[in-house]
Amino acid sequence: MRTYILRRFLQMIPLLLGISFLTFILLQLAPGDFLTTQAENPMVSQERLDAMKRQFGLDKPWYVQYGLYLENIFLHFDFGESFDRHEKVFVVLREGLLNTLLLALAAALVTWGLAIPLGVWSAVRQYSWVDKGLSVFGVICISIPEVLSGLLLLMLAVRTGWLPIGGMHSLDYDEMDWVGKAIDLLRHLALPALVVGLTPLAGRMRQMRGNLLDVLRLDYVTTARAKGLPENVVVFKHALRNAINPLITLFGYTLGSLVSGALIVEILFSWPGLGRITIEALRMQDQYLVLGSVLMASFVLVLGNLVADILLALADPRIAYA
Amino acid sequence: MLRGSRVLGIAGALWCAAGLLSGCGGGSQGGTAYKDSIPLPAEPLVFNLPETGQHGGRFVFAETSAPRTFNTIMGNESSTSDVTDGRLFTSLVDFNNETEQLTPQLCTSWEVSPDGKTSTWHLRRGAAFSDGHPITSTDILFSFSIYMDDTLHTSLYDFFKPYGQKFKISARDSYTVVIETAGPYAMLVPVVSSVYIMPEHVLGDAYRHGQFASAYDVNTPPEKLVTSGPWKLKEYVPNEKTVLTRNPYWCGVDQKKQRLPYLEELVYTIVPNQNTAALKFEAGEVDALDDIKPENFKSYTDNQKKGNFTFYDLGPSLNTNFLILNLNRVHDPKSKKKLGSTYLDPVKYAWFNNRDFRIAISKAIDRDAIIKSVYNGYAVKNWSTMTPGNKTWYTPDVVKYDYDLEGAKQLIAKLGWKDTNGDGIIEDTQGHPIRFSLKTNSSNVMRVAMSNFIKDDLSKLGIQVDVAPLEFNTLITTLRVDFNFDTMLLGLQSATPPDPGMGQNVYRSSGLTHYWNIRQPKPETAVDARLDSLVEQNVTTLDIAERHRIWTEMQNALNQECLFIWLPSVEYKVPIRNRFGNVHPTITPHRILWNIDRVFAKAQKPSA
Amino acid sequence: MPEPAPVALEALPPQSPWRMFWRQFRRSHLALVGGVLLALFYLLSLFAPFLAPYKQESMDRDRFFHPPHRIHWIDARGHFHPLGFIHPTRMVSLSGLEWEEDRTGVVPIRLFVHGERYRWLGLIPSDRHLFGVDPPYRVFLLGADPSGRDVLSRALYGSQVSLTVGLLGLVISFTIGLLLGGISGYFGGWIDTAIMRTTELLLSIPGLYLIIALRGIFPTTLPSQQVYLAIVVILAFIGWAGLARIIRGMVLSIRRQEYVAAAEALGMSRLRIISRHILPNTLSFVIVAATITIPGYILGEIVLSFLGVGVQEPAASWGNMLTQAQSPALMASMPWLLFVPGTAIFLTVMAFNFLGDGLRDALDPRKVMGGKT
Repeated sequence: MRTYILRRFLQMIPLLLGISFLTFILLQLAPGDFLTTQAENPMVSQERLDAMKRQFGLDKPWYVQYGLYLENIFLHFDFGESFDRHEKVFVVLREGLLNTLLLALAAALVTWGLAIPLGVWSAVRQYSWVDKGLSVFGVICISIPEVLSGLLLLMLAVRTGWLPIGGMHSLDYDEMDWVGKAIDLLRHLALPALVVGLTPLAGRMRQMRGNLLDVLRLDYVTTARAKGLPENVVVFKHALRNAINPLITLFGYTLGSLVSGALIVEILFSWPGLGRITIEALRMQDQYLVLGSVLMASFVLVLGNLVADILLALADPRIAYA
Repeated sequence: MLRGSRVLGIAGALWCAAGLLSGCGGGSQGGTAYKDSIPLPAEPLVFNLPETGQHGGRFVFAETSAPRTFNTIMGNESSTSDVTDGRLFTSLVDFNNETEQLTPQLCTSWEVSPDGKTSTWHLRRGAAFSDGHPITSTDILFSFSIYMDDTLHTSLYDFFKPYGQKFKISARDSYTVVIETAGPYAMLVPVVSSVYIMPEHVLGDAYRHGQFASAYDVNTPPEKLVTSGPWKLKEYVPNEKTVLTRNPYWCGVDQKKQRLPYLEELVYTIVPNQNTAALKFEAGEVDALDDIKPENFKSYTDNQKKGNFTFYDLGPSLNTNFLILNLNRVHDPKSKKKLGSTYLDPVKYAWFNNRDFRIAISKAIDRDAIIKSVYNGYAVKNWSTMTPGNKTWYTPDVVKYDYDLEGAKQLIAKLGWKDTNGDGIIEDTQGHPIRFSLKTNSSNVMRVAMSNFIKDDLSKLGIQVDVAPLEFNTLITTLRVDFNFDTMLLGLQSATPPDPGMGQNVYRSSGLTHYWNIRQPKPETAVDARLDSLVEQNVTTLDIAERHRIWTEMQNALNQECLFIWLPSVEYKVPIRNRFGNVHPTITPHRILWNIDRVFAKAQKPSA
Repeated sequence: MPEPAPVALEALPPQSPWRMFWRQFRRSHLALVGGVLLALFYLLSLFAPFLAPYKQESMDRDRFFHPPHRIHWIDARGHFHPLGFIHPTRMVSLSGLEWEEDRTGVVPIRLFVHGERYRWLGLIPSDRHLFGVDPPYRVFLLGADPSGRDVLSRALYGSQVSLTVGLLGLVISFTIGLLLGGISGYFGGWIDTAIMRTTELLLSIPGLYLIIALRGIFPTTLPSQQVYLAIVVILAFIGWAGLARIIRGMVLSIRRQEYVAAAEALGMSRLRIISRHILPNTLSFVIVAATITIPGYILGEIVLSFLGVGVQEPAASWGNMLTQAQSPALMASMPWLLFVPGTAIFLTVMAFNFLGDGLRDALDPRKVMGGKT
């Protein structure tokens, strides 16, 4: 087991290197010589430009540049400089990353919180109207573009006045006690997490339903039934636990898609996350910021996969020895 | 218990709790009552306000992006200047948007010698920075030297060199500053009003070590950000909000000798999406909006009562829209192209260089239809850098080439250009089809719509236009660095004060905004030379009547050549919440926040 | 729906797999509806220039923000018009947001009218349109946008972009994915490792972030047609990785089957083995995956338009129509601007999903044999 975990960790390294190489190529391919355009910007001093040139070897051949790029990232945690914001990329992204992760986790809670009970329900009432209705509901959730559903929910929030209109904190956040702060955060998370979380609902529901149905067909379930146990004990006490397990580890694998799905929502709801920063950086052609952000988002995805793999191996040790 | 329903149960409980608590937490203001423990300055800046208010309250303004720095001199974008200019930092003289006069701010008075070459400025005794340090002539000299610094080369640099010579500034004593110019300079006071005063005791070292550009960046702790204006920084949360609070040493008071500003907090909340900002205003989370599109005017007008706000009509904007043609020549010796050659190929250059062609384009554009369609009627025709919204400098009777399709067709016919092959597009005398691209800012929806209109209008002449919206940053690069465009639809924002002298770079052949051919080392055409000489006269005459006469000549010289093809300017309306007093939005920037230090929150009746 | 009565398997006549598939597929009403709807949409988009009364950029300066015309059948004098007619309209307020009908006028709707010239599929010139009214009037069945352009026409032209972007992207990414996945699974060894590492790399970057980074490569000065192509290329560039991995897995298992060993023994070229034996067996999965992926591409185009880097004006796509209609004030007074593209997108994506579900059920061997799953 330990070797498996170690192996997975080691496998992460070439992967991260590969991603950094890909982003480096994208940096090179992006049109325009930003040194020239930045030279026009009075806010960027010549010395800063010269410092960037030295640090990233911008006048040297590409393999030297890549080497310096890697060195800066992995040794100094320096992803370069954001020319638009006049700050180090890492400083700009730090807050955003945490905020996006928070949104992703909240969205996952929404998805799982709905998928598990609804999936169980449709499994237990297989082929009934409930089953079909939930399946249609799931498809509807996928079919509405986030842009539209987000906007409609925002307008609903305005009409009813129950929830804040976007943002992450109320203006009085700092004066609240920790209970107040927690509730304030929840109120701001509610709508964005709902929009991000509803989209993958159909798939998770179907998986839960399928898993439970599979488990219900197994021998020990038949045995339990034969022993005369009431049906809901069979389902909820025995079958469910086994049906949920695979779903739990699935979370790690979906972290990446949650982060990606949060991007549009961040803009609509002015959630101060990674995605919002990235889009602005794209508009401003702030190349190091865009790529730093892509790198960070990828690290999150890879980490999620790693954790999921390890959890899976712990749950089903056969995988470790495959 | 069933795991799924447990989760649901917790979620439900939280939701209910959130709903119960949604009533509280919105709109509570800063708690403690205001006590001014610092003595008023010896020479307070007294404002005679229509209404005196009380201290307390918070005003929330929506911005689309975060400030890039708090260093007002280095800031380039409105997200920065909205926070710094006039708020965190102020100058010797301030432009009062309401009276449209330059009034003493950090100075008490000034005199100009009869020959116009020497001006003496008396500083306000008792005026202090936000850390209590008095503002003296050391700081004034320090600030001016930054603006005139050759390495930093700020955007206003050229304004400090009338007659080609920099201002000579000296301090007669701690509270008296003398400025000498090579000759009379009409822009003296406006330029002085643009110099924001920086603390020498905090930033002097950084400047001397060449690190001024990175000073006062967004990571500066609030207590280290020493300011000269009515406000100081309370808190900056990256990507979320900037919060300003009173400068306890601010010298401004109302007629009852209460120290200004009244408001406890001025909050800039960052809302990148305009629609979300509109929703936030509707929900009461934001107190004013600055960028309402004309198509939404009716909805705001109808909702004033329900939303408890007033939708102020500010009249025609001071911002312009125009079409320019790329007549740029290569002026940069480092460029790959030959020095002095044109960026456009000779065929297109020949068309654009033809005055009759330019006039035909201008006559082919149906501006009334644009006003009706693009702006829903809320726009006016404009033919100058000073629009009809500029009470002082608007000149109604200048040369203009308004819509006249027949006239346009005649001009084209006179050029001998016609459609020889029946494809609907005319060709020039060498047989080249008249076809060119029109670039504009993709995020400005109205400019894109106008571009489509122009395309449609010009097709009636048989000219094919390819509209290409671009990202703003790319557009600027195209405009100033690589000159890779045929025609461009853009506009200029007015300077403060809105004086043609402040906007002189459009007319100066060496100017950065002389868009049809920027940065000429020497005037290259007779028109350029004439404009240069007129600009020079305009800024060196102190006689107002004479300046108006020269200004009219300037406009006519430009319009005669039709080098800017003028387009309508939009009318501005802004919604502001009714629970604030002394609110007085104006068409001159900053439209809403210019007098925010004099705005107060009216006493609220407690809600049920 | 009652369960089919269990039938002794020996009694059933042998049925071709196609028959079994079709029987099962027909049971899913939603999938049938989805399939029919999609076929209809694609047909409409194919004939868009003919069906649309106006071209997508054709502006009517006097009729911006015009609401959808109401079609009447019996006029004030009691005459019946078989093809319907509309009343001429007037703007009530200058803001263009209120219009009233002139009940006395009658503007009949005509079929197969002459209108603006176009080239069908870029080749065949024509000026016939399915319906229209005599100039100077215009008929806006779904209203007009802020520039006076017919929403129905733009929706039809927009469907060409939005529907084909998914299809094209799918064709490209599936071709690459199938080929590379097949090769990877069949040959194994270092080819396999190389291809799989590349897919892992691509899959490690969250989708939208990769799209943004790729969009940043393309110069922002591209004309609209090329932007469209760039978008398709970007989407395809992301899509092939996931498919390749799964195909590889399937190929690995199929490869071990006897008939493949037999083909190898017979000396069949490897490429032929891959294309003739292995890939067709993956077909069922591929079909289902396709119906799930295309909606993803369509939504991807929406996202790019929302971010301002998609197909630009004056060209129409459902994405940029949706983005343009977003302001809350517009939504209140001109809801059709939002609901036309919104509903079109919603129905299309939903139809693909139902179709995919139905196909998956129909291709699932457990269900096809009858009995409970």
